Amino acid sequence: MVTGPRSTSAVLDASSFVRAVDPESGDERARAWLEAIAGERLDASVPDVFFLEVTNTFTKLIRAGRLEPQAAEDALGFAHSLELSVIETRDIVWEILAAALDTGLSAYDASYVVVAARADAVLVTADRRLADTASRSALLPWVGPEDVFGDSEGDA
Amino acid sequence: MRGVPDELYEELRVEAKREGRSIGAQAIVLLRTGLEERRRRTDLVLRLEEVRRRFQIRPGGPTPEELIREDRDRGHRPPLY
Repeated sequence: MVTGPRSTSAVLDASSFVRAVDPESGDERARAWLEAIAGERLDASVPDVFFLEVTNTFTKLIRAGRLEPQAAEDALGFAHSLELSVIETRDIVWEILAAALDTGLSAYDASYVVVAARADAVLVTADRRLADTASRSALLPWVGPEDVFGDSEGDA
Repeated sequence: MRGVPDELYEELRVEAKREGRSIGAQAIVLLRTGLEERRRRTDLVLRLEEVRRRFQIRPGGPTPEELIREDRDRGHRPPLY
C-alpha cells in the first residue's frame, strides 16, 4: 500500500532491515530500499528502538541455530554505518503514548508511526498491521522505492 | 575559472571568502569533499552486498517478521476493535 503524496524520506522498521540483508528472503524491494538509503539517495530515520529490535531478532535467530553470529555482527555494523537520523524515543514518548492509545498498537509499533508522521516519511515495513496504521507506508515485499518516488527516488 | 556558470562562481567566491581561501583552493576542497562523500556512499552500497553474501537465515522456524511481532506484542494485548 502507498498512501499520501510524494515524499523524499523513509522510516525503516526492523522487519524491513532484516529482509533487506537476508538474500534468502528473496525480497528485492527491501534490498532496493536499503540500497537507496546506503547510497543516500533517500533520507531515512528510525526510532532508537530499531537497533534493539534488529539486535533481538538476531539474538533469537542465533540462539535457535539459524544464523551465524558473525553474519549478525556484520549486519549490525552495516546498520551502524548508515546515515540514519536516530530519533530518541525519550523525546517523543507523549506522542507515542497518544498514538498507541489511539491505534491499539504497542508503544514499540507506535514509535515507528510517530517518527514517520513527524518526518512526513514513508514507513517501510514487512508488517501489515504497522503499514495499515501509518499515514504513508510501503508494505514489503510489494512496494519498492521506485513505486513511491519514481526512478529518481526523490533525489533527496 | 573558465566554463563555470556565473551563479556557481559567485557562490564559490562567497564561500571561499568566508573560509579564508582562494577561489581555486576552495574549489579543490569542495571537489575533494564531494568525491570522498561519493566514495563513502559507494562503499556502503558495496558493503551491503558483502553483508548479504554472508547472511543466511536457515529455514525451520518463525520468520523475522514473526519474531519481531512477538517482541512488539509481548505483554501487549491489542484491543478488539
